[in-house]
Amino acid sequence: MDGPLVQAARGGSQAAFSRLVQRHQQSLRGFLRRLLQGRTDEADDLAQETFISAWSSLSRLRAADDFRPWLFGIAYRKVQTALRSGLRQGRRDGEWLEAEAQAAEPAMDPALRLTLERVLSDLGPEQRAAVLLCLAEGWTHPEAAEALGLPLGTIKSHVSRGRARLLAELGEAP
Amino acid sequence: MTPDDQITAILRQGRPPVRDTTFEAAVMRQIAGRVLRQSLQAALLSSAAGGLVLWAAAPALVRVLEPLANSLFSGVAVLAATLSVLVAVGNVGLRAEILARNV
Repeated sequence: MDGPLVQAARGGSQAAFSRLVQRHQQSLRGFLRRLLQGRTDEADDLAQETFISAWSSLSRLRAADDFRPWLFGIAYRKVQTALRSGLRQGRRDGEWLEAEAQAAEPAMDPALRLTLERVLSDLGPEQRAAVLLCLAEGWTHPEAAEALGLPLGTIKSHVSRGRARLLAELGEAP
Repeated sequence: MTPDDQITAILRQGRPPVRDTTFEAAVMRQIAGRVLRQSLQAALLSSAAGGLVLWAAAPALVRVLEPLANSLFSGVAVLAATLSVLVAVGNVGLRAEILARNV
């Protein structure tokens, strides 16, 4: 799907790369915001850095159609580096979680939403990333494994455990 | 809404809009700046390399080009004079034509 645009961007077309940014900015920024637990500005900064790194290293992408997992892989490595450096590491942002719960859809109990938010933030970054890609973005396990650079079995296990914990909070049997 | 749908809805909360021109423009501005810097660096490097080559080859070039320039000098001078005369004549003719039209 992204193949022709990636090929054009590799040839130096900024217009083609701009289309790729348009196409993926929402899911990438959403993923980073969740991964960084609502630190929106930092997540958006990392998203920008990710796109710029992707532009600079497009020639290293082997299969043009694998742009999406490759892009998210760059983003995930940037998050890992940021978390390791401790610059972006912080305690759970309770105020943000409260605000998220208040902004909930009327159909959903704000208390339940808040609980689920807390469960999600209790997951480690690797498990959270796997859960976000597979349950929020609808990626397949192999796609998530490729993006995060983890074995397929690990992804399956992370997603399964994360889903079970979230369902348990919803009062459903996994 | 199934429990899985609820999970997806929660996880998708706080996403940015489908189109965000401000974000997209910021990314593309940085990329354009990077491309410009790379082009300038490449131009600077190639002109520096070219200058270095010319400087190194200057003695040999002088030996080759000096006799050539001397032999071509008279021909180039005649050509330049002819062109000057043609331009001057053409200019006078054009003015005369414009005057004739206005009258």
